[in-house]
Amino acid sequence: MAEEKEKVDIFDEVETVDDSKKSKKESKKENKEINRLESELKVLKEENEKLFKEKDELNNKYLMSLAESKNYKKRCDDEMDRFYKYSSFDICKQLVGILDSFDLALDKKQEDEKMIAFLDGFKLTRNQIFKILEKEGVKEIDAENKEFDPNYMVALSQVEDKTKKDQEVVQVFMKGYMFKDRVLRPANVVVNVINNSDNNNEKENE
Amino acid sequence: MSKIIGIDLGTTNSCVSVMEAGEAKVITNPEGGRTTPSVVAFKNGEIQVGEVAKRQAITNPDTVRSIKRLMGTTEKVAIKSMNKSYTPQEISAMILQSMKKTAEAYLGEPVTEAVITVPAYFNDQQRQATKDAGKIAGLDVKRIINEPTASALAFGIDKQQKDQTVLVFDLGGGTFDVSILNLADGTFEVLSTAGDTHLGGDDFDQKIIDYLVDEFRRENGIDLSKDKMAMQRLKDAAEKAKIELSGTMQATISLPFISMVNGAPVHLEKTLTRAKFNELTKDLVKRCAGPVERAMSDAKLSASQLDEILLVGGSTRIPAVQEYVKNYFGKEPNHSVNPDECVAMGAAIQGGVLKGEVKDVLLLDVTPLSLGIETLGGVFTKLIERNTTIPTSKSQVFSTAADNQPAVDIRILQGERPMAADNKELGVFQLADIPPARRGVPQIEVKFDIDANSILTVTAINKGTGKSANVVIKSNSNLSEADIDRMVKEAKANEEADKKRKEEVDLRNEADTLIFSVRKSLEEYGDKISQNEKDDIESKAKDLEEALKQQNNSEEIKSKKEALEKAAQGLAQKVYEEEAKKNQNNGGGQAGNGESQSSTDSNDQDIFDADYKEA
Repeated sequence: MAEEKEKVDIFDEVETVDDSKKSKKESKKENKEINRLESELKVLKEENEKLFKEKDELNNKYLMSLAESKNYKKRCDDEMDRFYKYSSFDICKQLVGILDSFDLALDKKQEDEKMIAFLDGFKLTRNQIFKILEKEGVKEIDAENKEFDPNYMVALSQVEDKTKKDQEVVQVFMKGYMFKDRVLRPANVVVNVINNSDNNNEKENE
Repeated sequence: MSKIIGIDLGTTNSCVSVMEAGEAKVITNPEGGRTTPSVVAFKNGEIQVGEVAKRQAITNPDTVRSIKRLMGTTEKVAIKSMNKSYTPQEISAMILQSMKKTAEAYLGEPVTEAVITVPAYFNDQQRQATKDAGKIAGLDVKRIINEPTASALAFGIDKQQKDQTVLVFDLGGGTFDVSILNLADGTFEVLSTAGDTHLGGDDFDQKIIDYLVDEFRRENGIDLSKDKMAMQRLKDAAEKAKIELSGTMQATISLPFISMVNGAPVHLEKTLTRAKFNELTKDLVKRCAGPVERAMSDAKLSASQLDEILLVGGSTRIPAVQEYVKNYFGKEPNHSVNPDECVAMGAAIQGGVLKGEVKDVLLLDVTPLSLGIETLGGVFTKLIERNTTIPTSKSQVFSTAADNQPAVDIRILQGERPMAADNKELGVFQLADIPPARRGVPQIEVKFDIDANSILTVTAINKGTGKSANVVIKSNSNLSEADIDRMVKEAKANEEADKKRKEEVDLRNEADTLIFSVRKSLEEYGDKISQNEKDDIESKAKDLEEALKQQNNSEEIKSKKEALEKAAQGLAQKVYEEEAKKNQNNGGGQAGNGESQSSTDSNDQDIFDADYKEA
């Protein structure tokens, strides 16, 4: 038995020697292959990382695009609402300019009875036009004797009247009108401006 | 997503714009104005900007206008009521803040970044002052760009992918600026600038006002210039007339009750012709020549070396100004973009470029002509409208025209005419093996897919069997712009005639469908009505069939169709009743499946022609 074992041992050794000879050649090949695969793997890993990053970027861009779409639509809807709300703004503005002519004709005191009668008729006509404008949301701005407010009025000129308050509207040249919550045409007014500094020095009392 | 807004900070007016869906959009302020006066007023410790500030200019000494003229200087503005002095940057910041708020109100989100424009002749101090003003207003100014450059961006000069030399002719409300730019390798370079700081639209208005006052004095002996109210009305009317004269050859200026003489009213009514207006403003237009010639000689260029002349500023709408430009340069100027808003729009575009938005959108194309297929009666059924941005996808479900029709021809067409024969065929394919079924029953979905390269794939799927067929059509842009224009124009020219033809075809189709559905109803529910009714319906149906066969005119077909509809009313009622009962039994809400489809359904659906080529 011991002999057999020895024999086996010898065989084994021989094989092992052959094996290692074989392996040296093959392992060189294998090593080359392993290196190649390793570097390929590295390249693929890098590419993969790059692609993942790109995918995330594109996905982000896509989602942002979607979100922008939604927001844009909302803005468009809001704009449509505004457009609808103020759709008759321009034509009302033009008509209000026509009312000016009526007002100019009607505010002069008349003596002649016939004239008064005619003008009464025009006054009624003017009111008819205004009723139509009112239905659209037009309102008169109350400016006479009020404090000058540039949000609703525009100053055409100024005077100095010590009997009146500073910044008081002393004359309304052209009426102002609102269209819903926007100023359709500001009231054209004359403002009383009292110069306090001059008061003490120069001006005489009226 | 935070946006970079573009602000045109002008001497008299400012404007703010932002990129939206690839286009520059001007934002309206709370008063509804697309521009905001560059005016700041101080009252009772309050700061007011815009129209509100402008309204108090005459009575409030603490109203600041044209602050732009002081930018870059160390001159401060004293505000008496506040006992304080402000630098020009601080005043400009108030205007910028107002524009910022306007943008935020529109976008519904905070705005922290902006691109602001300055005149091309602004020096370093002036530019720095503008940047500082932005900072004070809470804006990170990403870039300061020249106004003419911004205009060029708005006009799309940089999109043409070639080097160009352009002249920007900017005639605004109060100032005139000429700039010559060279675009090379994607960068704009200012070659020269010249201008007149006191020439603008206001001067043109004044000529009309002076003329009216002179005429009135001559005709009535009254000097209107003493009357503040009359002058205000005159001013408004003059501006209106000027604007009108840009579109018409004459304008009427009508001011009733402008004045009083001896208790009697005097009216002003004058017609101003364009010729007269040109005469009145001749010397103003001549004044444009100086700066133009200076700019040209400084850049050492002749008119023929300019690729484009861009018109900027509202006053370039005046015909006399456009005429002058055309004659001087020997070519039509470019006024394709709103002249009041293009500077702000250009700033917004620059903002979009900086954000990286614009590049992607600019790459998107549109399909130049409508695409669709041919359906029953030789009609062109559109699936994708022209000028749809691509890539895009659209599908629609169609059905067969005859009982047991085994295949459908999908004929792909391109064009704008309602009849198939008048459009261009791009391709044709067939979807076969449709199992026998009554007409109108098979569900054939036709899908049009256009990818980013304009490649069209048309797919037809039989929703019932899942069988599909498709065809890929490369480049349907074999057509030149001229061809496309021609096709669109032809469609318009033939609109009336085409409409009539389509109506005739639609009528025939409807009549055809009616006969079919009435007969089908008769089969199913004929036992629910009297024999007389049945006979009546059948005979009316035969009448209509004959009319269609004989190709009678539309009137006849229409009346026979109506006769059949009337006769079948009783039957239709029964059908509804029975269908309602059925739906109740089925637990309601079931879409009509093949068998219980009511007669109205097939009228709505587009149908393929029964004719098909044998495969």
